[in-house]
Amino acid sequence: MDKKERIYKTLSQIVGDEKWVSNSPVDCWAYSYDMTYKRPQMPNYVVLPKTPEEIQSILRLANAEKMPVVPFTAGTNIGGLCVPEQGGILMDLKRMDEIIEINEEVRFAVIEPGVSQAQFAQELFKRGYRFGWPVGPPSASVLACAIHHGIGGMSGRYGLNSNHITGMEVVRPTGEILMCGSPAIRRDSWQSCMPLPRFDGLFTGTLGTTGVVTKLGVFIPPVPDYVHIGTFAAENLTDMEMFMRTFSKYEYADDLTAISWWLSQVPIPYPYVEKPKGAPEWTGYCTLYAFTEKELENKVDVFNKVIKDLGKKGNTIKATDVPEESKKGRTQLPSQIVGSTKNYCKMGGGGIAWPGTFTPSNRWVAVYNLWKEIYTKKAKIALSPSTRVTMYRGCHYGMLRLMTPFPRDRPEEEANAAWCIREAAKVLIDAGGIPYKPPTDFAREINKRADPGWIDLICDIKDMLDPNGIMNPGKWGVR
Amino acid sequence: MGRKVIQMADNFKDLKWYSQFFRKCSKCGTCKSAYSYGPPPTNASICPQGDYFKLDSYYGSRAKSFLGQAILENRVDLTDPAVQEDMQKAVFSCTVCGGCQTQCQLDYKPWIIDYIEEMRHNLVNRGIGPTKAEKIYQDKVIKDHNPYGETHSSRFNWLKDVRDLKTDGNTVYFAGCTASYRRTEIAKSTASVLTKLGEDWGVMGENEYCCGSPLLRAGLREEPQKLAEHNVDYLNDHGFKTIVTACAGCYKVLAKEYEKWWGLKLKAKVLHTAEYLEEKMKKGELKLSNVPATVTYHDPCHMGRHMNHYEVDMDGKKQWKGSYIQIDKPGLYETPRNVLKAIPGIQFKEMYRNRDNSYCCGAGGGIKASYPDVALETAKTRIKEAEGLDSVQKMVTPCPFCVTNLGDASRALGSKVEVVDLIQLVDQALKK
Repeated sequence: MDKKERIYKTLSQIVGDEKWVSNSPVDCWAYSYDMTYKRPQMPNYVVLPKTPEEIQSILRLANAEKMPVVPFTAGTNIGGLCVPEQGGILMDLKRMDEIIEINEEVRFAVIEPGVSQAQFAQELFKRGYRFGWPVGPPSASVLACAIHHGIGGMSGRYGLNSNHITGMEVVRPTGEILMCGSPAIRRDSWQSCMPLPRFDGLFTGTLGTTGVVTKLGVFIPPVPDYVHIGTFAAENLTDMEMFMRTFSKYEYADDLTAISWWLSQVPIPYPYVEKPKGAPEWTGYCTLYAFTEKELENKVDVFNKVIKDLGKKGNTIKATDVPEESKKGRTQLPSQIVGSTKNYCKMGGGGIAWPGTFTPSNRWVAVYNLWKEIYTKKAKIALSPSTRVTMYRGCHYGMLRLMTPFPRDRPEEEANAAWCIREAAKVLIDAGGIPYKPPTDFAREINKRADPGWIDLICDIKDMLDPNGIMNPGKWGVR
Repeated sequence: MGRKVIQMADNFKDLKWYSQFFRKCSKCGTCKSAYSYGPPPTNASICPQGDYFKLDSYYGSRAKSFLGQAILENRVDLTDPAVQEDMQKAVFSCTVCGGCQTQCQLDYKPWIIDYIEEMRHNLVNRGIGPTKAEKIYQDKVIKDHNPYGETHSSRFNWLKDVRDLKTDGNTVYFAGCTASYRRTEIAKSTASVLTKLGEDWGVMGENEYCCGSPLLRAGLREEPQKLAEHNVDYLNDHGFKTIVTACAGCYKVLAKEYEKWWGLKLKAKVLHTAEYLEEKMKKGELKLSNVPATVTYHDPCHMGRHMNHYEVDMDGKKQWKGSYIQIDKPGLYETPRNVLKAIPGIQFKEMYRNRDNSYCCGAGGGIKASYPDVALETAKTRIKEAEGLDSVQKMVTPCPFCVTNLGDASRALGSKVEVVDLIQLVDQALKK
C-alpha cells in the first residue's frame, strides 16, 4: 500500500467511515481558495472529525507522517487562512456543530467549532441573549471568529469577540487535550479565563498554527429592551475621528462606526468613481442600547450634545436622518445581505480582500490619506477607498480597514487589487497599525518590522507546542 | 400532423457563458443554510446534498462554483477515471432543488439552477455523465416515452377505471409519467376532480410523451427537445384551451422550459391543478365538504422556487451589466395553500422550512434513481420535520414524485404521517 493510500485508510479508520475522508482532487479543489486574491493551493486530504478524540488521532498521524494540518470551519475569513500553504490534511470541523451549553444564570455559552453565526443567533435570541455578531456570513463559525480576534456589533462597548472568551478545550499539535481557563480546574465550569494565566492566548490570534480549539466558552450578554441608532456625517475623517473619540469616552455605544462615501454605496463602486460634490465623505452610526427608557434617553442626549458642542467649535459633524430600513443593517445581524459580501463585492465581481487592521484612532487620518493616494493615484486601475473605522473600548485600538472588491475572472485586475492591498498594508504597519487575521504577505510585513524578542518568543512557543511544524505551516511566516 | 412550431435558436448557454456569473460567487457560504434575521432569527439546513456528504465540494451553490471552475479551467484531471467518478458524484448527486439559489445574494443567484444543469451537460459531452441509473431511465424514455420501462401503450391504463379514453375537449389533462405509471391514484383523483367540476376534458392518449424533465435535469439537450416538439405539436394542433397537470415537474417544463430553451410556445394556458382549483375557487365553483385532518404542506421545488422569475439587468441600464435585481414573480407558494386551507375541517400547520426555504423532498435531479440513499435520507428529514408539528396526520404536496419519495421515507421511518397529493384531498372533499 502506498503512502497516499495508507494515510487515507488510517484517516478513514480514525473517523469511522470513508464518507468523512477524501483525497480526491475534486473535493480538495473546493478547499483550495477563498474570497481573497490568494492563489489556489490544494490540500492532499480532507477529513471531517466529529470528536476531540478523533482530532487527537489525526494530529498524531500527521506528526508521524510529518504532514501539515489545516483547521477549517467555514472558510469565510478574508485572509486565506485556511488555504493550505504546503498541502497536507485539511481538517474540516463542520461536523462538530453542537451548542453544548447556554447558561442563562451566569451568561455564558459553550460551543463547538462548527457552530455557525446563524445557528448561535437563533438559539441565543430564543433565550434573550446575544453575541458580537460580525458582518460576516451567517455560515461563518462563531468559534473561529472569536479565537481570531474577530469583531462584532458589541465591540465598541465590550471589546473584541476574543475578549468574550471564558474558556477553551484545545487539542495540542502533538495530540494532548488541554483546558484553558476555569474549565481547566473544573471541567463543567466555563465562567472565565481569569484569574488563571491566560494560556488561551497561546491559541488566540495564532491562525490555527498552535492547536485545534474544540470547545469555546463565551460571554453572552442579554438583549436590551431599547435601542436607538444614531446616525451622523462629517466632511472629513479629521472631524469624524474627533467626534468618535469624544463620544467613545462614555462607552455608551455598542458599535461606533464610520465609513467613507465609497463604502456607503451599495455595492462599492468598482472601479473608482469620484465622490459627488457636496456629499459628505464620511457617514457613521452608533448603536445605543438600554434597559430602561431613561437610560436610553440619557445616551441619546449625550450623543446629541457631543455633536452640538463639536459643531460650535467648527467641526463639520452633524446628526443625520436616514431611512429606518438602512438602519436595520446596523443591528439585524447576522445578515445574509451584509454577510454575503453583497454590499461589498457585488459590483467588483466575487473577490474581496482588505487591509483589516487595529489602529489607534489618532493615526486614522494619516493612514487614510496614504491609502487614498495608493488606491486613486498610484494604482494601475483606480479603486474606491472604501474605508471603515470603528472604535473599540474607547479609541485605543480602533479598527481601520479598506474593503477592496475585485473581479475573480480578470487576473490583471485581481493583481491590481492585490498590489493596492499589500501597499496599503505596508503604510499601515509603518504607521503603527496592525493587520488582523493577516494573510501570509501581511505576516511577512509584520515580521520584518517586529521586535526580535517577539519573533524569538513566537518561534520558541511554536517549537514547544508543535515540534514537527505541522499546524497550518507558513501562516505566521516564522516557521 | 406536421410540426407547426419553427425551431428557435438554441437558448442553452455553455459553461464559459455561465462563468461570468459563477465566478461572481464570493464563496461566502450563505447558500449553505436557510437563514433569516427575522426577528426572531431562524436558521435551518437547506442543501440536501451538502447535509448528506458534508464536504464543501458538495455544499450549496458555492461548491458548484468551485466545480465549474475546475471543469472549465482544467483544474483537475478529468481524463483520470477516478477523478471522473468523483466529479460525476459531486455534480450529479445534487438534487438541483434550488435551496441554495434562494439564499444567494449575489449576481450568481438567477443562474444557479440552469448553470448546474449546464455543468451536467458539459460532463455528459465529455462522457462523464449521466450516471448509470440515469442512462438506464434515459434509454427507457427514448424507447417508451417514460422513465419507468413501462410500455407506452399502457400509459393510460389507469383511465379505464375512470372513464373511456377521450382525446378532445377544452381542457387536456397532461398526466405525466409518474402519475400514469406509479401514482395512478393521483391521476385518477385528477380525472375525478375534472369530471366533478364539469370540465370538458380529455387526455393526449398515445400522444402524451414524457415531458422531458428527467432528461433535462440530467444534462441532456437533444433528446428532451424531441419530446418537447412532439408534445407541443400535438397540443397546439388539437385546439385545447387549457393544459392541466398535477405534476410539479411537468408543470415547470410545460409552463416555462419548452419556450425558454427551444422557443416552443404552447397556445393553451398551462395550469397546475392547484392553479386550476384556485381559479374555480375564486369563481365560487369549488364546493368542498368537510375533511377532518391536521395537515402540513410540502413545497415541491419545481413548482415553488424553480418558478421564481428573476429580474436581471443584462445590459446594465438599471444597475450594471448582468446584475440581479429582484424576484419579480414568485413561484406557486400561496396558490396550493389557499386551496388546501379552503377545505373545511382542515387544520393547517406550516413546517418550519417553507416556501423559498422549503427543504427538498430529495427525489429531484435524478437522485432518486442515482443516489437512492441520499434521496431517502433527505425525505426522512422532511418527514421528521412534519412529525415535529403537533398532531400532523398528513403531509400534502402537489407532486407525484414528491409523494413517492416522501411516502417511501414515511414508511421507512414507520411514521404516522401519511403523504398525499393535494388533488387527492380535494377529490375527497369535492361533492359529486
